[in-house]
Amino acid sequence: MTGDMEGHSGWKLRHIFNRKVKQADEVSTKPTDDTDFDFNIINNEKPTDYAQLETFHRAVYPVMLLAQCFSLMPLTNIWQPNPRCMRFKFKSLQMLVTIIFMVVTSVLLVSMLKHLFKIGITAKNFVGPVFFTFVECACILFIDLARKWPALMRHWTRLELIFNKPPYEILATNLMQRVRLPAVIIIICSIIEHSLYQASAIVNFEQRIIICAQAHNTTADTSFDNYILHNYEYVFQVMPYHRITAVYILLVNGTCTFIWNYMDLFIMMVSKGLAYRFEQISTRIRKLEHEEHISESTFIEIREHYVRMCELLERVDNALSSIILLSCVNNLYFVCCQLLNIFNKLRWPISYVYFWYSTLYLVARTACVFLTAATINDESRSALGVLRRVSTRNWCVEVERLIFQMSTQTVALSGKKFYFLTRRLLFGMAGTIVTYELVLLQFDEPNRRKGLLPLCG
Amino acid sequence: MRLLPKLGRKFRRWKKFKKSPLLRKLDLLHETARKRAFLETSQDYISRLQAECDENVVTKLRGKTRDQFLYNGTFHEAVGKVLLTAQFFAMMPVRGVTAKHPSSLSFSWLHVRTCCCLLFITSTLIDLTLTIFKVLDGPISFNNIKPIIFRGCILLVCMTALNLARKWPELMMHWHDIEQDLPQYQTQKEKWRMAHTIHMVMLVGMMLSFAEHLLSMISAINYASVCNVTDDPLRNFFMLTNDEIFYFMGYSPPLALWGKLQNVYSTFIWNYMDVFVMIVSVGLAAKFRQLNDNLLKFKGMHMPPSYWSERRIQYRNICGLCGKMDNAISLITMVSFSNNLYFICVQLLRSLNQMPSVTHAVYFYFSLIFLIGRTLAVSLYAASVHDESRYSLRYLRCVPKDSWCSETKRFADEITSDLVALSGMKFFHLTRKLVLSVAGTIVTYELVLIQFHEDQNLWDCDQSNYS
Repeated sequence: MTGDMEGHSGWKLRHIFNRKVKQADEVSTKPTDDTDFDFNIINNEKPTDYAQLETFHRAVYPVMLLAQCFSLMPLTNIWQPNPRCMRFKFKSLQMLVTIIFMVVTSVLLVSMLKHLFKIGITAKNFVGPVFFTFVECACILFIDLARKWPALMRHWTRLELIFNKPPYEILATNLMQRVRLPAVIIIICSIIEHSLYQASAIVNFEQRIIICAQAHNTTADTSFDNYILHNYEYVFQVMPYHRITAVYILLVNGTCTFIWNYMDLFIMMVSKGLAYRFEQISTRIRKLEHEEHISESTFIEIREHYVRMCELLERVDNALSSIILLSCVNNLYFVCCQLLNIFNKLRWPISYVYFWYSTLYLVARTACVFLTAATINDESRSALGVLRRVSTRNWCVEVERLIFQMSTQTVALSGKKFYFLTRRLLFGMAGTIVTYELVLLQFDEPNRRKGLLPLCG
Repeated sequence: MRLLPKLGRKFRRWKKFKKSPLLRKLDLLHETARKRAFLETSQDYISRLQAECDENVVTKLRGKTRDQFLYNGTFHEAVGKVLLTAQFFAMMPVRGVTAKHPSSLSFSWLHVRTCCCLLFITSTLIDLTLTIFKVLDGPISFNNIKPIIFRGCILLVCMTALNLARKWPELMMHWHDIEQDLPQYQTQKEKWRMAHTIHMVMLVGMMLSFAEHLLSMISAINYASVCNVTDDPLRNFFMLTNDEIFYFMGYSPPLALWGKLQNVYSTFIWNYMDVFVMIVSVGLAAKFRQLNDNLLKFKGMHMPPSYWSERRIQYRNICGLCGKMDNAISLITMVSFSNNLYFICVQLLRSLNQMPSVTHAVYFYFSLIFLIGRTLAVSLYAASVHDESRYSLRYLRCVPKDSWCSETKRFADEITSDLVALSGMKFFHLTRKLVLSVAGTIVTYELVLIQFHEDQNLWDCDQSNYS
C-alpha cells in the first residue's frame, strides 16, 4: 500500500485515508460498478443524491446539451446527476455530428479560400476564411476539452461536496441562476444578431436584383435559390447546386455563429462557477469578523479549502487555457475589423442597424468575458480586509499563511500562462485596440474616400 | 470460430473477478513461484537457455555493453554529443565533452579545435569586411543591411562561444557538484528524460535548418538559371550566393569553395545559437523539476525542519547555478533575440513583394515559418526555467500546520520574492510575459514599416542583392 502513496494519486489517497474514521469493511463492500461509487465515503449511510446538491455540473448541463446539438463537446450521459456517468466515446452520436460538421466547414473554408485566391485577398474579404478557421479551431479545442472534461468534473464535484455542507451557505443568487443567466442573455442576443444579419443580407440582395434588373431591363429573380447562389457562390464552384445543400449551408452558417458565441459563453460560465465558490469562502471569513473567539482549527480548515480551490482553478486553467487564448485572439481580431469599418458608408438603413448592433454586441461580449473572468481574481482577494483585522487573540500562523497566499498568488484564469485575466488586462487590451485602430484607419483612408461602389456590373 | 475463444476469454475473466483481490493476488504469487521452481529444475529449459546464450554472444552488438546505454541523469552527459557536433562547426572548442566525468573537460589555446575556431573567426571577419564594403557602395535601407547583421551576429556569437569555452570546464564542475547534491532520481526512465529532450531539440532544430538550407540552395539554383549572367551554371550559382566576395575579386574555384563553406558554417551557427539557449534552459528547468518531483513525493506529509532546510539550500544552489549560467550565456541570448526580432521584421516586410517563382515562394514561406517557430520555441523553453522555479511554492502551501516552521516560511518567502530567470544582459528577463510583449512589438514595428514600404521588385535580376 505504501508503494502507492507516491506522486499525485498518492496525495489523494493519503488525503482520503487521513480523513476517514473507521472503514473496516471497506474492502469487501467496494462496489465494482463505477456509477454507484460514492465520493463521500465519510458518511456512507445513505448514497449522495447528486440531483439535490448544488454543483457546477448540474448547473451547466442544459447549456452543454444545447451545445451538443451544435456539435460541440461530444460527451455522453451529461444529463445524469452523477458526473461519474459522463464519458468521452469516439463511437457516439455526438461525435458523429461533430465530425460531419467539421467536414462540411472544411469544404466551405477551402472553397472560400480558392475563390479568394482568384479574385485577390484584401484585409476586408479575408474576414470570412478567418471566421471559419476560428470556428474549426474552436471545435477541435472543444473536442480536446471533452476528453479531459469527465476527470475534471469528477474532481470539481468532489471538491464541491465540501461547499454544500455547513458552515458554507447558498448565496443570494444561487449557482444555477448565476451560470444560466449569461447563457440565456447571450443566446437571445446572438439570435437577434443572426436574424439581423440574414435580414440585412436578404434586403441587400433583393434591392440589388430589383434595381439592376430595372437598369438592364431584365426580369428580377429574387428566389431563394438565386439568393443562395449569389451569397455562397464560392461553394457552388466546387459542387453542383441542390436545395438540400443550400439548406444545409444555412444550417452550418448558423452553427458556426453559435460556436463563435459559445467560446465566450463557456468561459463566462466556468468563471461564474469558480467565482461562486471563492465568494462562499470569503463570506465565511467575513462572518468570522464579529466573533469573539475563533479556534485555530477554523483557520486551518478555511486555508485548506482555499488551497484546494486554487488547485482546482489551476486544473481548470490547464484544460481551458487554449480556448481562452483562441477566444481573446478572436475577439481582438473581430473588434479591430468592425472598428475599421466604422466610417464606411452603407446603402440601406437595415445595414446600419445590423452593423451597429453587431459592433456593440461584440464589444459588450468581449468586455463581459473579461469582467466575468476577472471576478475570480477579485473574489479571491476580497476577504483580505477582514483577515488583516483579525484580533491579536485570534491571530495564528495559519492566518498569516492565508494572508501571504492571498496577497502574493495571482488566482485567475490565464491564456496559456502568457497573461492573466484580471481587470488590468481589460484596460491594457482596450489601449492596444485603440492604438492599432489609429494606425489601421490611416491605411484605409484612400479606400474610404472612394465612397459607395457602383451597384450593378 | 472467432467467437468461441472470445467467449472463453470472457468466461475466464469473469471467473477471475469473482474472487476477492486478496485471493487473486495469492493465486498469482503461487503461479509464478510454481513456474519458477519448474523452470529452474527442468533440464531441457536450462540447456535451451545455454544454447541461446551461445548464439547471442555472436549476435549481440560488438563493443557495447549495457552500461553504455544507461544514463546517469547529469547535464554534462546529456549535452556531450550536442557539443561535439557543434565543435565540427567551430563552436566551443572544449576537449573531453563526451567523457563520463566533467573533470576531463579542458580548454587550451594550443588545441587543434581551438585553432580551427580562430581560423573560422578570422575568415568570418574578412567576409564581414567585404560585405560592409559592398553594402556601403550602394543605397542603405532596412533591407540592405541584412547580410551585415547576419554576419556580424555570427562573428559575435563565435567570439562569445570561444570565451564560454574557456569557462566551460569550471562551469560544468560547479554544475556537477550541485547536481550530485540534489535528491537523485531512482529510475532510468526519469534519468533519461532530460537527455532525451536535449537530443530531440538538437535533432529537430538541425534537421529543419538543413531542410531550409537545401531549399535555399534549390531556390538559388532556380534563380541562377533564370538570371544567367554567364554560361557556367556553377559560376552563376556562386556569384549569386556569395556576391560580396566576387564584387571586388574575380571568380576562381577556391574562392567559391571558401564562400560555400563559409555559408554552410554560418547557417549552422545561426541556428545553433537558438538551439544552445534552448538546451541550457532545458537543463536548468530539469534541475528545478528534479527538486519539485521530490517535493511532490512528500506533499502534505509531516516533514521535519531539517528536510525543509535541506531543500531550501538545494533550491538556493540551483538559483545560484542559474545566475552563473545566465552570466555566461547572456550575450548569446541577447544576440539571438535581437537577431530573431530583426529577421522576422525584415522577412515579414519582404513578404509583401511579389515572389519571382514558385520555388522561391516555397522557400521564403518555409524559412519565415521556421524562423517564427524557432523564436517561439526559444522563448518558451527559456520561460520554462522561470515557471519551473515557481512551482515549488504550491507544495509549500500544502504543508500541514504542525510542520510549518521558520524554515518553511523562509523558503516560501524566498520563492515569492526572487526572480529566477535567464536574461539578455540583465536588460530583459525571459518569462512568458516577454513573449507577449515581443509579439506586440513586432506587430507595432510592422505596422509602421509597412507605411514606408515601396513595392519594388526586390528579386529582379538586375538587383545586386539576392539573399
